[in-house]
Amino acid sequence: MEKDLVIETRGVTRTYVTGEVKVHALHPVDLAVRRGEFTAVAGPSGSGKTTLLNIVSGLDTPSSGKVKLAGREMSAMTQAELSDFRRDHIGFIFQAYNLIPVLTVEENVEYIMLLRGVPAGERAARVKRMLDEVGLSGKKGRFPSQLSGGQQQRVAIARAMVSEPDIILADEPTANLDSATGSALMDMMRDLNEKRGMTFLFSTHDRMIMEKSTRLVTLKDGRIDSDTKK
Amino acid sequence: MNFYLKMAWRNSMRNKRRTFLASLAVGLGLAALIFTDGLTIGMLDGIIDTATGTFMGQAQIHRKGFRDAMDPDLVVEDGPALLGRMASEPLVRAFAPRTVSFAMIASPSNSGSVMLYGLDPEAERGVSRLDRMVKEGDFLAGDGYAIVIGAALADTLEVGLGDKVVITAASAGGGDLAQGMFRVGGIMKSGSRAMDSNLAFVRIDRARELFNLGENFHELAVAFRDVKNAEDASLPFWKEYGGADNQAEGWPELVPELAAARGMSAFGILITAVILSGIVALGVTNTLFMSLYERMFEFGVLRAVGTRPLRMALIIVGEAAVLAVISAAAGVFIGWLSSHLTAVHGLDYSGIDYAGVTILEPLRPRFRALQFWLYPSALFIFTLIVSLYPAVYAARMNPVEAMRKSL
Repeated sequence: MEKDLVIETRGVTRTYVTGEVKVHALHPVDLAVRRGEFTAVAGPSGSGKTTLLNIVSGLDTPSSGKVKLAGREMSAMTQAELSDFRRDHIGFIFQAYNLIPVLTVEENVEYIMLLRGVPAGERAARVKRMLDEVGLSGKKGRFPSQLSGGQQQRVAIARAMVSEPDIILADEPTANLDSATGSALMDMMRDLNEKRGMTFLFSTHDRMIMEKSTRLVTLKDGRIDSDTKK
Repeated sequence: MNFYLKMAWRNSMRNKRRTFLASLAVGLGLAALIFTDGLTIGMLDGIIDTATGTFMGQAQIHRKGFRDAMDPDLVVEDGPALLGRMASEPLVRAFAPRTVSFAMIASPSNSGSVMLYGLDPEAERGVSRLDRMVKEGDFLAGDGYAIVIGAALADTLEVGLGDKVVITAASAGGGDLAQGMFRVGGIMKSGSRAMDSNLAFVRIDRARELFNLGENFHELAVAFRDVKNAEDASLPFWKEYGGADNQAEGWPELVPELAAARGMSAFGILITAVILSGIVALGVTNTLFMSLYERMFEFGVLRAVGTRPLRMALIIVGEAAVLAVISAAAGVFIGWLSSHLTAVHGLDYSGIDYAGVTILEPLRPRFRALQFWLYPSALFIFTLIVSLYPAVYAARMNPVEAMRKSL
């Protein structure tokens, strides 16, 4: 495996069985994502992009094939090992409602470092730095319900990035935002990608995200239809 | 505050109404247990106090076989010497010698059988409350010819204060019948039909003279400094004063029905605790699962970002701990308040017989320390155990299933 490969899937398939009905969500998919890429996986509903991200993140297991993330084969890991692996190597941004409502902005960003056992002083410094970067340092004591949708997603970005993971997986991060807020958010992520060399992998059918990404992978009926670098 | 405890507290406060209602339900269960325990203990203590304090005494010493045969010759062995030893016994607060005889009592209008006790009125005040039950006249304050009888017996004999009655009973040393005339000096209303119909009391010196007993007596009633001594079968007291010819017994031996009732009450409290535990288990499980189902997406996110299964379980257990603490506080307060209010007013069951004893005083719940530390602690631990079911569910949660609409 090449040293700068963050994600590598080989022959990954996923078949859901409901009673006697089999749904092939993914046909053999081979995908390699390199460090620092800003990649969008696009496609219509049911094309398999969410399934692909679930498998890549270790939230779901493939029916066949192999997945490596940051050089580690994921299929051999236990649930506890997968939890630790996600905590240490992956940052997540979900569509919406992905913050813990009972934690403040500061505590939401701090949470993953707490899981990793980062000392309190270092946690505080990193949270402050991250909130400064996403422009929310003045709102650190607020709860998610006291923030707008765009502000909540900025907190989610801060949370995803604060522990400096190998890759950030974002599932339709602008889906619940208006176009101006979504565009500003994407610009911010692109900026962080350029400044820090952080790897991003989006699932989306938002044209704006496709345009702002540096690589566009399209899926159709569970297969890679196209893979374009800009 | 610990991060996870803070999280558990805030999660519990997210739906204040649900937390309040669940805590109230669980707390009421605890309060019911505290109240039941307090009332049962209070009732039994009250009945034991009635049984021992009204007349019997906390312990009694007799000649072996006297209680079965009631033979007037079976006087307490070395009675006069025993009184001297008892006076220097550090465990004993008071004691009173008594003579006991089956007797016939007759008035010009009627006659009946009674248990006639010869008493020392001064000594008797230390071990019984007979003097307080005399509602007319006085308690053997006059000359040696005064007799105190119950109000029901007075009605049967159709006598009142100052009227004459004749006592006939077997005397010691041969069993000849002895007869003596007495004047009714006091009429007693104890609240117990049995006592008011069947007992009569005269001064002990007059009884000794009448029944040829010399300085002897049949029964020594004892009151300890600590009432618990009467139940302590391991005390050397029983052997020391029982000896070869005499028999020293505490109230559990004198009224075994009462001792059995105490054992049954402990079992009753255990059954109550088991039933209430079931209610608590259902309440806690239901509350935690409702909260869990409401926050499936959130739990999915927690799992996705790297929260280990064990930590997920601890989050649920932490919320159960918060619920248990609030419930325990509510239960202790409600339990204390209901017990206190009932203790102030009392529950009047006077005149009713229980375990062979007539209830004379209002029943009042009695507090004891374990109601306020053992029961709440048990509730806390039990709640944590019950919470393991939803906790394991949360730990095994599939993040993809939980977040169906997202990643």
